[in-house]
Amino acid sequence: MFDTVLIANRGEIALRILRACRDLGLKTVAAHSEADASLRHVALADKAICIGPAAATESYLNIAEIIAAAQLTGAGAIHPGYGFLSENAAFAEAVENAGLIFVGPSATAIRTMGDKVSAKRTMIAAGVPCVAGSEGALPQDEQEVRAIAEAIGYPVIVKAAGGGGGRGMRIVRDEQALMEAVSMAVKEADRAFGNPQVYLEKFLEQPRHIEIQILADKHGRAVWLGERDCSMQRRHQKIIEEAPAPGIAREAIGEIGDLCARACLTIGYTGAGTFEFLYEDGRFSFIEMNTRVQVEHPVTELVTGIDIVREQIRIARGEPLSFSQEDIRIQGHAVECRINAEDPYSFRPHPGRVERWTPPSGPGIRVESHLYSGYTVPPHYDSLVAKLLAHGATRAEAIGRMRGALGEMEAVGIATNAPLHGILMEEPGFAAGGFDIHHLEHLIEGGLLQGRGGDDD
Amino acid sequence: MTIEEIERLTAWCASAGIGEIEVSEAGFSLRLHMQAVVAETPAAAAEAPVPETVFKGVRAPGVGVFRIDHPTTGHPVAGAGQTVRKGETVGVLQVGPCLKAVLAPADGVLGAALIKDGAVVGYGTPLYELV
Repeated sequence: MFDTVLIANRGEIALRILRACRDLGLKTVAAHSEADASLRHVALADKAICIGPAAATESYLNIAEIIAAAQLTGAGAIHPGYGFLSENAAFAEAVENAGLIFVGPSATAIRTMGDKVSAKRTMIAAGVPCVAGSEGALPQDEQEVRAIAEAIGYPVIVKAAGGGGGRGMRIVRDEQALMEAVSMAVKEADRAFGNPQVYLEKFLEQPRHIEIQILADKHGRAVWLGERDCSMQRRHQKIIEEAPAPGIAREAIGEIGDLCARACLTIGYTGAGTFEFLYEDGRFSFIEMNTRVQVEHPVTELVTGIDIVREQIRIARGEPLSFSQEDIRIQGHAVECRINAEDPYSFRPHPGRVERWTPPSGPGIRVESHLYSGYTVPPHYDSLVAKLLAHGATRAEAIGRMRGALGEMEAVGIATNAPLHGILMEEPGFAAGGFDIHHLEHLIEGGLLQGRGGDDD
Repeated sequence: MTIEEIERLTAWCASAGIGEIEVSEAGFSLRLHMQAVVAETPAAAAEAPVPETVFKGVRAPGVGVFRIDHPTTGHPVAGAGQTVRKGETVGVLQVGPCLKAVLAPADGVLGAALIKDGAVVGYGTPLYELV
């Protein structure tokens, strides 16, 4: 079994993976781009190797170079983190074919769950509730498409089978707009994802985003680790996540959690993963599965005490889960704020040199960040620079601790969205909990940020 | 058309090198004229960290095992003091059964190898001085 893990990612998640490897007594190789030689995990890894220039397509997305780097440095496994190649079935397959271990599910499972149409079909077969919609991709025939939309009931949403992250979607409120929206979506999907297939779903007006974290080993055991509420979003990007989800009965969560764990066994899914649901009027509807570790995984770690990344690597080593469903207890409440290097009001990226970094700390506070004083945030990648987490006995206590942590945090030299999080911690809708995924957009439209020096876009 | 769609369209034009585009939909039309130099986010124009020394010599074109001696002939590919032309092969990177040529980035005289034969190198690792 492998004793060295190549980390094919950057930033805070690369550091998080390095720490999990260290806890397990495994050695690490940092595979980094030319722009990332100064990253914290590169300095801490047992070995570091530059795999390409700054552009991700030539480095973090370069399958051949990453696999060659693993072979040349003696790494027996590759951890893809999130983003980049983490949900790329061809990459997982290339890793397997090179005789290395991909820390994640099989290429087959990624492929099944990566295509939204086949994922939905699989979930329906596994008994997981889905949003009402077309059975698979839409047919060519106009009359058939109209009939499908009629049967679902307007409003409907057109989605790309190969899409994700909110791209390639169109909302249709009446029949007149249907065919144009479908043909636009087909063209867009073909251009953006190389897959022209689109499908229809009932459009939910005020859903919450609730997701279930699962872990499944290679010995036929799967558990679910509670839920996360990720409804605070802007343009489909999550910015605040919390666990547990306020105001949803534990029995309802338990029911859907059991279904997810069981579905893992049906799919033959192993490793860490997340089932994402829309939740409206007391009903869960599956939207997609993320076949990797997620940005917001520490929220679950705080309330369950389980190290998800460590378990993920243990599973990749072929070890059985060291706990069962009955051992999992949810303790207290946890909140995460994603700190991005961006203007808090115009949302423009704001990379640059961090003259001084002072992370918050204290009871119940956890910080996941690769920042240090003197580090330069490069402009080439995602703007996430830190995740602040607060854990408390109650939701109010966790929010109170987060408010303090946001006030303590100092990142001199770059702009961050910490002030926006500060505003949201005080916002009545957030304080009450249970808001829908459009909450933040509505707040912004309603003038939340007006007069805060931000309307320069 | 929403602002998001316009932004996406703009990004497509920028990546495809399209200077101007007109889009018409029922009831409206849109014309985008792309500026040659997009002065995007002046505040965000932070420079990427530059490698500490600007090395002008021969660098590794990727990851691999650096071979001064060609693995098939056993003879050195190039030697110190040799005059080379831009694009000339001056070394070899080996990854398993595959060989990748290391090329001179400019005309010049090759210095001594900076890396030992058989060492693992990454993208951009300095291999030879070139003067």
